[in-house]
Amino acid sequence: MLDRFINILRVILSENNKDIPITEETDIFSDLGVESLGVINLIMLCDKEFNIDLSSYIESASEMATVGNAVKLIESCILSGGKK
Amino acid sequence: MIIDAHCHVASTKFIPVDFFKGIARNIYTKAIANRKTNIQLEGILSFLLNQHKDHNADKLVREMNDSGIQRSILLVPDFTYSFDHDFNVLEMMDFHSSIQSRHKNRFYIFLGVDPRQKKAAQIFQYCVDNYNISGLKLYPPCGYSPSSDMVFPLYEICLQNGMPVLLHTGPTTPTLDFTFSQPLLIDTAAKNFPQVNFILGHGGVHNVEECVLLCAYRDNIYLDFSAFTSCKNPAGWNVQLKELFNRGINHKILFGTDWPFANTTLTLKKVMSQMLDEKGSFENISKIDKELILSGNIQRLLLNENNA
Repeated sequence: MLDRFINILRVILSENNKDIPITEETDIFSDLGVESLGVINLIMLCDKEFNIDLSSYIESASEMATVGNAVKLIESCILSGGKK
Repeated sequence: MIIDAHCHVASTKFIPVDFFKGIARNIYTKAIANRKTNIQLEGILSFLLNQHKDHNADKLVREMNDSGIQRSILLVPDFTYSFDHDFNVLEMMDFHSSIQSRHKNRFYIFLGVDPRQKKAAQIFQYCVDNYNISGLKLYPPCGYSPSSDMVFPLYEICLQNGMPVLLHTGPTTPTLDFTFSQPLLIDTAAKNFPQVNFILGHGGVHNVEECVLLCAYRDNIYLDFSAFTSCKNPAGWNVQLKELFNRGINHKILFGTDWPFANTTLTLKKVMSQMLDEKGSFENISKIDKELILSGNIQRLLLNENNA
């Protein structure tokens, strides 16, 4: 799951940030510079990759914060069938 | 003490879908330009609507607690003449009053009444008499000048009750008219109502030069810097605020977030942490000025401390 998410994340990163090492602790917004358009893109790509509706599941995209948090949210979204 | 002088309940009950449609169009235009071909307009709109389900402000209160904000002013714009909407002003007032009761001593309310409503003054007076509201919120991009004669009866009520007026200035959703969001449009009203205090919403972020001059030369005009995280300063919002705090009007500046519109990628905690860091926005600003900006100025403008 972590590797699949990081692969998606690499797709949306700007050219300047493509080579930044990404771990579970990496902050998607402050470390990787992902902004509002990027986070919408990220969520839509996750929806497609994992067949979920992540934006309905989370209260705010800012909840994702770190890569580890985002992966946990995706996992719990899948396990709950998209409902909190 | 920190008071957020400009925020909203993140709920589609109070912010109409058509408001978000304009924001979605702007994001979509950027997505197309950046060849993000997997992003659809409907998907962006759906994303935005899904981020606005905090109908009782529970999440907002959690964010306030996490970030050290003791109280916030909930603004309730009246979009009656601009967008289809499920609720009228009195119904929105009821909802906000419930939120005020649910989270005791956390929220002030500035109610919006479009002055073109046939009984605008009666509606506003009724709410002043029967609810716990602390100010008037105007949204001129809905299609009126804040210095139009038709707004004056609302200012009379503010005058009689010692309440400030907060008006939106600067750009907004492209589904509204930016013509009436110019800050200078408030000047005639501010001159005619010298004992009513007027707050230029987003004045520290958009049309800053004009807003700073109005604050410096018109004693009853103030500004807030809500929506600062989306400012277009290439050096970033912390630099923008540092520049603002060095303009000699710190007795006129109010802290505000414009929550939930900065909510896409940032938590309030993260924003506040960056702002209050020793190298943050208040670096080299005196303790007195910092206190004025974070709470002292808005406290002076509110009727009294006990009306939250």
